[in-house]
Amino acid sequence: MRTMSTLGSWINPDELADLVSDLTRTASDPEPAAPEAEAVAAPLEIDPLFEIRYHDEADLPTGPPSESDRSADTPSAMRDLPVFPIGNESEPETSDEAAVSKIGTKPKRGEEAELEAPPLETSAADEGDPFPITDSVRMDAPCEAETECPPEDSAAVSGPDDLEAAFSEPGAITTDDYRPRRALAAESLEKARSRAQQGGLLKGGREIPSPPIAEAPPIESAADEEPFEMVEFDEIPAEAPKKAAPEPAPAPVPTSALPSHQKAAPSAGSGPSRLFRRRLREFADSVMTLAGGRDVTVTDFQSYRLHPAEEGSVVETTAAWLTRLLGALPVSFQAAPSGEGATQIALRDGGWLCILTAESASGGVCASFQAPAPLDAETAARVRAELRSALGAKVLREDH
Amino acid sequence: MTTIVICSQKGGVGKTTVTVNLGYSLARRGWQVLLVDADPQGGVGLSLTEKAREARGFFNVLGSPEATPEEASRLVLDTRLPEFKLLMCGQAPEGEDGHPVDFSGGEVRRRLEKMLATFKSFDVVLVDTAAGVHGLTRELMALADHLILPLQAEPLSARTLPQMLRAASLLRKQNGGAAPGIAGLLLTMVRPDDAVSEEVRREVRQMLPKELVFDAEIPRDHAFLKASRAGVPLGLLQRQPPASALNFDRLAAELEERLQWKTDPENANDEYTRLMD
Repeated sequence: MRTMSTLGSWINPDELADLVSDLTRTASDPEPAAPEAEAVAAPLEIDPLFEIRYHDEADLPTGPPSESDRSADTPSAMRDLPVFPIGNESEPETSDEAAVSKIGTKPKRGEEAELEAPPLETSAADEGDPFPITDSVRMDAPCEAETECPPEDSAAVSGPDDLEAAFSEPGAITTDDYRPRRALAAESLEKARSRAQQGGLLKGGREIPSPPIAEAPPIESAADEEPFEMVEFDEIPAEAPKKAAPEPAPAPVPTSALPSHQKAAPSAGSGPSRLFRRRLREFADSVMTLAGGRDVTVTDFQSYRLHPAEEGSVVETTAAWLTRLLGALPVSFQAAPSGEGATQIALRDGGWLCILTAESASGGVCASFQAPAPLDAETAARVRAELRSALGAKVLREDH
Repeated sequence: MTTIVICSQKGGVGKTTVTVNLGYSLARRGWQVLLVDADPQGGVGLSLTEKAREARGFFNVLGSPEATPEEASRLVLDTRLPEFKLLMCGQAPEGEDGHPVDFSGGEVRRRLEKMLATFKSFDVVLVDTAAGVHGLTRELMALADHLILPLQAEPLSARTLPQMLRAASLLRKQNGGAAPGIAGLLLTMVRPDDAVSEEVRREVRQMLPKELVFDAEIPRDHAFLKASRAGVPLGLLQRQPPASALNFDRLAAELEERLQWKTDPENANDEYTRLMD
């Protein structure tokens, strides 16, 4: 006796999952894992993989590799692929010129897509991707210091051994044909949804993925998010590990014009820090230098604490924050003139509470600190300029 | 300008009702809305005025080789709501067999593209289409920024869902993957008191990611018949609009959020009209 279902048995869940995946992908996102026959062209697009596997003579064994050696070094899905001789440009019998030209030439559209929505570490295991991100990441952007890479990410890309383990996980390939179709549909959709969300393709995805390791700015804690970061699309990340500092600092180059290895490991710029959190720290330092200020606090206009970062920051109104701040301090409410945009209130212990604001296209911030003496207009202007600079975005109103 | 095409594989799922009422809600929320009736049935016009049959409109421009696509902007009609304007379907030309001419192909798409370009002064262009994903509807879907896919909460309609998604996916691929986007599937004619309808509703939400299905739903409500008889959007049916009208306000708000429409920064200041001085 069949179970009545209005949709579940009428709709092919795999097809629906593919369609959903297609429809939730943006133009710049990579295609999902290609069928095995089409995957032949893929290895040609990843130079580092081949350099690691075949071109690094130091790693090559002196004799011909045994079958067991090959099995140990090569992901299982890759063993079945035909191997084209590298450098023999006439050999590959594919008409895909883009794929052929990948060797030693300019990258094309596929590499842009790789950077814009790179696969996560789990994708290789889930989709049987024969070209795991581990090699690409390891080659393009080795982690320079432990603080640059979250421990869990480092563990996830530790090497081909882990990849082998991931391939051999019992749950990696579903062979259970006896489950209800609805369950299969739900599972397929959940995978598609998860992939799309992890790739940042779905609006409102609850699980915001970590950025790829090669491009990830060092994040020290959950509170280190950058709510006011405004980065142009063609801006080169300046915080990635550098191999050699260029002299002078290069002008920003559209990432679409960069080969993939440069995208993954850009050279560091010499300008202000790209990290909002770091710029705020620098601002706090400058307050100490310029005005002898201490206890520097920066919030946004909703009083979300931006500096110093703290766990469990809550959003409250600016008025509530100011009330709490003033209530916690012995204040005489004696204001000192210091120019537009700055408020200074005398504290009973002889210090002064200074409050400054700055606005940018991506939001406004309010900085407060205690200074030993009221700031004159010139110093207040300089501190305010530092605060604007810390915002690092287009300033809306210079006079505020 | 954002072009949103309301389309469905199956007929009678509420496309025209959604178009009219969503357009009205968006206009009341301050957006400059143009409602284009690209369905030869002329449901939009027939929903709103007895004069719809005589009014020249969309098909008069599209079907006349002499008419330039830009002339469509001169056929746009005002309503009593200044933000809400209409381009009626007009008179669809007939072929030798007496049936309406089928519009499709590259030339039609180019003319449509030029026509839509003349509406750039509007914030939103809502296009009501004939059922199916072929001919003119397909051309309009291909030119849309986003699609709204009404899905009747009944089994037959829901089973056409893969066909609809396949068509949208194909168009996206042909367009280079950029458009049309899926603004969302909209469950219509939902009957909470009917077990089958409820099951369809539940299964659709289970099978599709949240991002593809509007939270808002349109219930099956007698008020729609009354509004249709009166020739008004639901929100104008009576002094206190029926509760169903709120669903379109909710849909409009959700659409703004999904498409990340932002108000002009110049207008997003702190100027309020206080209830009392």
